[in-house]
Amino acid sequence: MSVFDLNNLDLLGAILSFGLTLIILSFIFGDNLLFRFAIHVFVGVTAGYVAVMTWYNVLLPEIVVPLIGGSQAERFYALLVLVLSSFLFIKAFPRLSGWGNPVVAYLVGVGTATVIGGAVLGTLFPQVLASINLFDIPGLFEKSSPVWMQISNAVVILVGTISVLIFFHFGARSNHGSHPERAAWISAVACIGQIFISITFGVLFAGVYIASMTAFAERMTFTANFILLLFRP
Amino acid sequence: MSNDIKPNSGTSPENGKEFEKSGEVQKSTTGQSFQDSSSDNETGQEKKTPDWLVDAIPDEKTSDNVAEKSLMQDFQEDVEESADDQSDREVEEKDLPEPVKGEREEDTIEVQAGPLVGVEGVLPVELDPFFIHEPVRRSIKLQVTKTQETQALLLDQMIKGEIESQPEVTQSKAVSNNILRIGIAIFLLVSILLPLSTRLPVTVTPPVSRDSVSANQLIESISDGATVLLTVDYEPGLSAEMDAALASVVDRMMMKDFYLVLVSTVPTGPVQAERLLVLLNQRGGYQYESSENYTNLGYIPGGPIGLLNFAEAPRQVMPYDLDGNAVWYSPPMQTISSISDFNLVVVATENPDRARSWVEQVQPKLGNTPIIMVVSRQAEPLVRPYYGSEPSQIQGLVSGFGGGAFYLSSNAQAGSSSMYWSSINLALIAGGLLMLIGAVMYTGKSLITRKPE
Repeated sequence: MSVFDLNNLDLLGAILSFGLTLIILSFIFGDNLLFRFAIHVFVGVTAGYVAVMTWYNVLLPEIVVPLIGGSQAERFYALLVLVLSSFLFIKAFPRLSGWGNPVVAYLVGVGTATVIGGAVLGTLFPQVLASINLFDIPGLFEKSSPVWMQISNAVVILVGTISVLIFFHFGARSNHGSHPERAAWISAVACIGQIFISITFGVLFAGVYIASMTAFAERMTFTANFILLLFRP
Repeated sequence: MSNDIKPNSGTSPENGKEFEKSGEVQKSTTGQSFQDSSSDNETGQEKKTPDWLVDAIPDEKTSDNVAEKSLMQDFQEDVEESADDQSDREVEEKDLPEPVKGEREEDTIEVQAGPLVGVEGVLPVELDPFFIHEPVRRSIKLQVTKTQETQALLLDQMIKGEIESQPEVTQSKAVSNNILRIGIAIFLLVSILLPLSTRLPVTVTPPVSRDSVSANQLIESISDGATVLLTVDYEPGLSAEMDAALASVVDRMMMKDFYLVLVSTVPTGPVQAERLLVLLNQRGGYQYESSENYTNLGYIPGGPIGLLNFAEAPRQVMPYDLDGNAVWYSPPMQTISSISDFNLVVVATENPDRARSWVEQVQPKLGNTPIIMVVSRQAEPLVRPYYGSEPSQIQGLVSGFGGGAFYLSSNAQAGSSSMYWSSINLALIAGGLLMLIGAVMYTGKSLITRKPE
């Protein structure tokens, strides 16, 4: 495939992509005008796209269409949403910002309830149950992996969970007016928790590193292929 | 009216002579001067009354209060005028009787309240004997403890250190950093481009991923033509990794002719999904068309709340597709009334919070419908507990580029995952090597430069 096989739009896209990639990579030589220009372009394009998407995907179908052609109930609902949204909008004006407080309170309340409910029922309880199930002795023999491996796995998870929880326990006592200190056994367990936390951060960093390197490799591959495409007959 | 002054001079006929000389009340100072002037009779006084004071003489017909007020106003104006007139004052000094000359300045006060506020040289009513006492003697030596003295000394030393200018070493450091940065960039660039240019595979096959195997088995177990909810929830910045990982899964689903329903909780998600399908159409030779083979419902606003809303009532929350068409009455979508009616849910995200939101808000409402996560390597450690737990909350996990590459290879396919696999591996090794060298160098440097305590 050569550059002449591309249609105009694809070619334009490829040239823009190639140019912007090089401009972003120019940051290797330090901050410069072109780099800042590219950053502004990205921010502007994203903001514009999000605005258009919000209009066509949210405001138009949720408010405008029901208001114009909806049933009585739909119109009433859309009008209510519009009025409440307006209250939220006028929070931008300091004199009238108080009008938006009930709407914000409603949003925060519902949001908090949703997130907490989801976290408790969707993460906390199932994960606690899963941790308990690790020590389900009859269940251990039903699985294909060796029992000792399952038990050691369960012990590591249990020790990790407890020690990390204890690491975040900051209670301390003062004896005879001395400087308050953690109990010795809490300090010892917290040290183990610290090791688990360090390993977790290391793993997270490795993930971020791999993801970044993948993006870099993809861009470099694209750049190399585009240059080859230009010189291909 | 303030008691700080004695406003009798302007109205008293006895001191008319004194007024004639001074032209102002405040300059008739001591009792001695009053005694001198008190010998004049009324007739003589009327004759000697200055012009400016004629109006100030009270009229017998008017009431006392009104007369007093008007006189006080005039008196005040006169005092203000005379206070500014230094030349008149000098003349007056000469004309004063001898006993008064030395005393007039010392006995006058500055008025603090009342209509004469700010005017200097006004006589006080009387001296208050209670305020006359010896001044309290206070020690001028700073009384501090030994500790406070030491701390103050320390603070002084610290501040001295801050004030002193430090020798500039930043210039040479910046230059070396630039060289280091460019050197590292070139090293990584070469490591990425080497496998591409030489076509030498550094690693032939990706490592076995059991998670990808289970995801593959799950997809294979679903009959052809099934309706699948596909969520494209990643930002364009990480599309390189996510596109490669998701493309391997979606490619397989397109081969099985699944009807795809696309949604996203990220505003840029819908266009990412469209782009991916166009890419796969080109690469795999598929003819996936909107509404015939897939429907893009677009962006779900509201974060976790919107997601919960969508899980409870998908038809009401997302009634139209991206083009504004009512899509729920088309043949493949007619059978879907709740989210559990989908045959499979695939969530692709690089953000662990979004993955968690799907598990927390949507998964409990899925019933028997399985859910597969396609995640970035950076999100994988936080998503894995949902997959590895017993009972598992997600039934398949394809993580990052490696997971996608293995998924493709397990289906004997080739795609972008296989294409970049060698480059990424070599770049990761090169990057790791650089970090190791850096760690060794800095450890050595810190050991050498460490000062003995």
